Amino acid sequence: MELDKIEKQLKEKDIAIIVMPKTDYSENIMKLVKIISKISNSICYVSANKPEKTLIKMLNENCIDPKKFLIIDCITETAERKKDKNIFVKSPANLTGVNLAIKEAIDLGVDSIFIDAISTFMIYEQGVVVIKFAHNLITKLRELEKKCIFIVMKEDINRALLDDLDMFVDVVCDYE
Amino acid sequence: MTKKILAVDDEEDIRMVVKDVLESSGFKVDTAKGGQEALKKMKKEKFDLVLIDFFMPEMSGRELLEAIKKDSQLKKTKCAFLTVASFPERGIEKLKKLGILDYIKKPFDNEDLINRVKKMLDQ
Repeated sequence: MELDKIEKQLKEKDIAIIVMPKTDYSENIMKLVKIISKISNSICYVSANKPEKTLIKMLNENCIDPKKFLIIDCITETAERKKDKNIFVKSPANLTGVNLAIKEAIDLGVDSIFIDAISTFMIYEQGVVVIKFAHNLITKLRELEKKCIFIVMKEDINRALLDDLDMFVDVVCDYE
Repeated sequence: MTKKILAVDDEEDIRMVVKDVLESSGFKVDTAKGGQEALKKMKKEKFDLVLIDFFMPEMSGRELLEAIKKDSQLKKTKCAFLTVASFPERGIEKLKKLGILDYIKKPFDNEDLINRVKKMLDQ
């Protein structure tokens, strides 16, 4: 699916999966984030593969306002749990910590959650645990009428887990 | 003739509750803790209905359902989900296409479970 079609889907649907190849991943993620920053006023960016610092640098380089983002960084090992509004979770394996951080972000008023990438969590945890985590998050976000975008790295996920996750979302977009 | 039901769930407590509730209503109930065990039991014995949990570790409920529907010997077996999962309209449509008869949400009301099982067996 091309970027303009994905943009249309993201405007219309609340819960989406975007399947992305690893080729030009960072570049393509920023294209998507640009779209989301146009659709949403306040976004919670859950990063399982890029440290907060790198992410802020990337947002600035792509002329995307970092102030619109509350970052949950699951990569940087730091003693402090919070820096400004951003939250640090010790590891992508700590899904309870990620869940609590997302809850804090919701309480602070974010209107969209961007998960980069749900497939990375599957490297650290059993597939069924990550699918349950995603399902519980989706259920909560539907009640609150918030958007959620799950990024899936094509090369990192097995088809069965993607098909399971597919049951709970409004649309699956294959990024081309 | 007594109708036979297979309840597939990775949680033992749930398997036991489903068995107790349905047996108290006159059904014969066997249980399986996962998809592989369920398929083995279904190959040995014919069940009138299979109740499947969605979130299971070795094989998800959706995978088990697909395996049943792909198997020429098992594909006519009636299947339903008994799960904590909430599906949007799109998900329910997908499940129907996969061949489920009903989707019962956990926690369930005992009477409701019995009535819906009876309804499915009458279909």
